[in-house]
Amino acid sequence: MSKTATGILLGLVVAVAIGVIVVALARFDLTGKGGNRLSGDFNYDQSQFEKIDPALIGYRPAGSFRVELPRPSALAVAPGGIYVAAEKALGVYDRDGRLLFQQVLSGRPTCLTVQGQRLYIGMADHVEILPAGVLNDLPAPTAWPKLQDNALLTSIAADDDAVFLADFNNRRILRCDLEGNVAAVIGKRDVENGVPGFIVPSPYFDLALDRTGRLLAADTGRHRVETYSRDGQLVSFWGQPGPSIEDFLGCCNPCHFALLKDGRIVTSEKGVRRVKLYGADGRFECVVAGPAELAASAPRPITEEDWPMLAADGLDVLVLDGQTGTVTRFVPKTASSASEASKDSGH
Amino acid sequence: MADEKKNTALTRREVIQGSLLGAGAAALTALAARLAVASGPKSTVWQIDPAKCIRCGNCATYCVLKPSAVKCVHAYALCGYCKICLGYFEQGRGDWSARAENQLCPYNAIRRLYVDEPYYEYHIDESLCIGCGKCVEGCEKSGNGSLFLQIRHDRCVNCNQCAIAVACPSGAINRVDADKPYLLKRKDGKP
Repeated sequence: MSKTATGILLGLVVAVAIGVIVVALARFDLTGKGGNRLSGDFNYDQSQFEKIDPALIGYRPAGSFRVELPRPSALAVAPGGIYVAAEKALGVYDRDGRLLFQQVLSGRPTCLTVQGQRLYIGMADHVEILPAGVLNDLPAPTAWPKLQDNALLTSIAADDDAVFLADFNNRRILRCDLEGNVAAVIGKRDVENGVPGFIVPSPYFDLALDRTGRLLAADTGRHRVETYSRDGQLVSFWGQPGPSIEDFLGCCNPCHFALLKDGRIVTSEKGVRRVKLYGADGRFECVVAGPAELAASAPRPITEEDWPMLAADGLDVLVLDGQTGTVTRFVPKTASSASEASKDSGH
Repeated sequence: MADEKKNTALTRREVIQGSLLGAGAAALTALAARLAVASGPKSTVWQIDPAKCIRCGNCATYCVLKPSAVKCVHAYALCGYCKICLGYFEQGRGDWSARAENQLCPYNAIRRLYVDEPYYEYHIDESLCIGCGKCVEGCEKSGNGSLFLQIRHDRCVNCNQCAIAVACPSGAINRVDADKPYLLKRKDGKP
């Protein structure tokens, strides 16, 4: 065989080898960018629940701001401002998102509320109190004694007579006097006395006081909001699990709720990110914000901060996205004066 | 001749000195060997960091083993023992009975045991699980995230370069110390 023929043969072999390598690299996805190549049966698809009829959306976003605080964990609104608790920090903002004041805290609050001149901060197993409305030279917080039984506070509500604490770890609500003494235990499972107990599978156990001073609590495993008298008697409840928009999805919802000034109830859910509005009697009224308005910008590991935290400001709804630290104000679409009304009421 | 004999004979002092030197040298050698072993490269294995995992499904298909060495595991201390477990049920079916068509896992790899109304315990049948992460997504989104994915080292062949690690879009798979081969979720959130 001549030298030329050998060279051609060698060239062909090299060309074929390069071709095989190119085809192999093109054919096989070695980086994962081609997706998991699993059939649709393996996709966790809840898109059918994330589609919301636009006609059902009764609110619109009316501005948002970001809080530059690490791991935001709780939200409250009071005439003095918008309070956001985070890792070892508390920020107070005006309605336009300007930081009015920032306070160092001893830990990461799990809940907070403002009542009169008091800011109650739930710190997992105890409550700390700061003067509300004071925006400089705050004294060290007053701390109530640690609660027993490995308590984990997830929500706090107060009026002029009592402070109510939701304790997730013990599935109970504590009614305390204003000095922090426990006066009553509400809803703790007691089969002998016919108390079925709260079913709260995950650490989202919210409560609030309505205009008449009755206690509302989220019995999330039953997918309902329950109303109790102040001495702990179950008065009424509403809500059920289901795929309809008026029902609650997921294992245990609503994860958060808040009361508008007219007594209506706004809820948020884990699983499908949505905020809905119900009448005081539990009748579904509208969607405040759906997954499209609240969606994460990219797939990300889910954390406890992921589900929308709520506060009501008059008839407006404030939503805190704990992942991004964004507070968004939603105002009613129809009542253009609602936001103005809340302005008149102090903001 | 007698002088030579005298010169080569070891004295008691020389025997003791020699013994001590020998023992010292042996001890130093042993210490050096121990240090060499201790400072050498540690044995490592591949593992998924559950805090970074986005449950993309690549673990099921990119592992060189079929089925994958990645399996769903369950942190019972984290579990809510939910009656409506969205790692177990296909949402929106309308009823919450354990019929096959209601179950989320395409391979029916999750077993549900009644505990006490309304609580249920969930177990993974690893012989059926392919590590697709579908149940993990449901549990993360709706539950407490007690279901998560781990590379099982009774199956993993510990490739020099893990194919799933390359294909993982969130960089969740890395080498960890073989002495602590699992990155388990804990109730207190500590690693």
